[in-house]
Amino acid sequence: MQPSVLENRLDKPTGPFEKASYGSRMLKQYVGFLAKRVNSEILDIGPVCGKNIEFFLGHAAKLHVHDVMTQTHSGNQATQWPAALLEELAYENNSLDGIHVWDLHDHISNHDLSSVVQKLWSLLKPHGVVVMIASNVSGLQPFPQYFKIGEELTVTLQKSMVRRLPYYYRPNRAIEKAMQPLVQICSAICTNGVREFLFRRQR
Amino acid sequence: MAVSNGLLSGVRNEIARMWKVKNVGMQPSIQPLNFKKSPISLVKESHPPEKTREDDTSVQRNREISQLSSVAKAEITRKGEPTLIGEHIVIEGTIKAGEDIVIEGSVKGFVLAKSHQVTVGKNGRVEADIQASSVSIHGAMTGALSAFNKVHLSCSARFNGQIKAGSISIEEGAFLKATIELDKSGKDGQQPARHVEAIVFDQDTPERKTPKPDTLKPIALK
Repeated sequence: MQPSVLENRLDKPTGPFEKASYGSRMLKQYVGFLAKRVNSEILDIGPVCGKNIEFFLGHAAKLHVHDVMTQTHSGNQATQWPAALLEELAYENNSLDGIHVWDLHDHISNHDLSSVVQKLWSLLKPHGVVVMIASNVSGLQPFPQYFKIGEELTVTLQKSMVRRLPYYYRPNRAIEKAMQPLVQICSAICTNGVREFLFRRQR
Repeated sequence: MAVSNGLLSGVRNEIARMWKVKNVGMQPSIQPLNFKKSPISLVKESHPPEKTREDDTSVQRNREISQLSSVAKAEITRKGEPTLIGEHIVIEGTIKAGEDIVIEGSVKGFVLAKSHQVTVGKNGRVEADIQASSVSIHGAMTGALSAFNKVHLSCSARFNGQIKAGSISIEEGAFLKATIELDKSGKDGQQPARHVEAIVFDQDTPERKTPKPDTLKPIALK
């Protein structure tokens, strides 16, 4: 997508994006997937939201929370990102049933993204899934966003202004390619500027 | 007159015997007040020394409490008088607590308070494993945390480690890298029911499906 198109979308928003919320189909599929797993173990990557943690703990036996904002207090952020992220994802291989990622891929360069995806792939069990939710418009801001999960899987944008990260916009097709070897199950760009992706690790 | 004098003398002696006063007929010695000293010091002198020490202790304690973060103060007000580990105190080792604890200082090691609450105050720095009835984190903590009841992380909390608890609440703004497990067994040892409407996709056929949310119109789908 060209910047001019993005600018047009910024000029003609469907409503105040900060207040936008919607029912997430990807999360429904994700929760349904977890319901079929026994003693499921999942990983939450992104800015932390207490409500989301409480929500996911209701659907998994064990939840790993990796707050990308925790590095804010430790030295030079630019040199640490995203190498520190890879180092800190020190979980056992083939141990996770699911990973949900909030607004992360748009803050990682192509080169680093392939390393991160490879890492996510190795952490997942066979048939494990990855849910990615990110903003499509406000992602122009270099601050990672997250989405608070409410009743009936309604998701509302929450701004996180703690940490500034580099920003790389990619169209959906580029993301699908960058996420290989994970296989894309489905994706959507919604009119309120939210993008959702669901990937899965094959056997 | 002599008789009356004898009577008076007898009465005096009787009084002296009763009250164990040697010279009843003499004026009692009255110590003059030292007006050079301030009224406060006079009041202090009039109390027994033990009482003064108690007052000093309570004044010191009130002063310490007044310097606590508002959250820790609230804990104290609500629960009574927990043990306070002050901001300038460093403890390395094992703490076994028979009452609630508020940690505003630095603790390394192990904290065991099975039937009580442990609060890490806003200034608290804990590198320890904590086992308690309930735990409230407002400061920085690294370690394994096990609470039979509730774990609460406030917006100022910075946590790195493992959490195992009956329930958990996390305020917006808390930083954490953690592995969290809830004790879902409950009283009867049964798993709680999951009330989730689920759309399950077939695991063996990774067929692409197009979501059609009711509330939104997808503008670009792959």
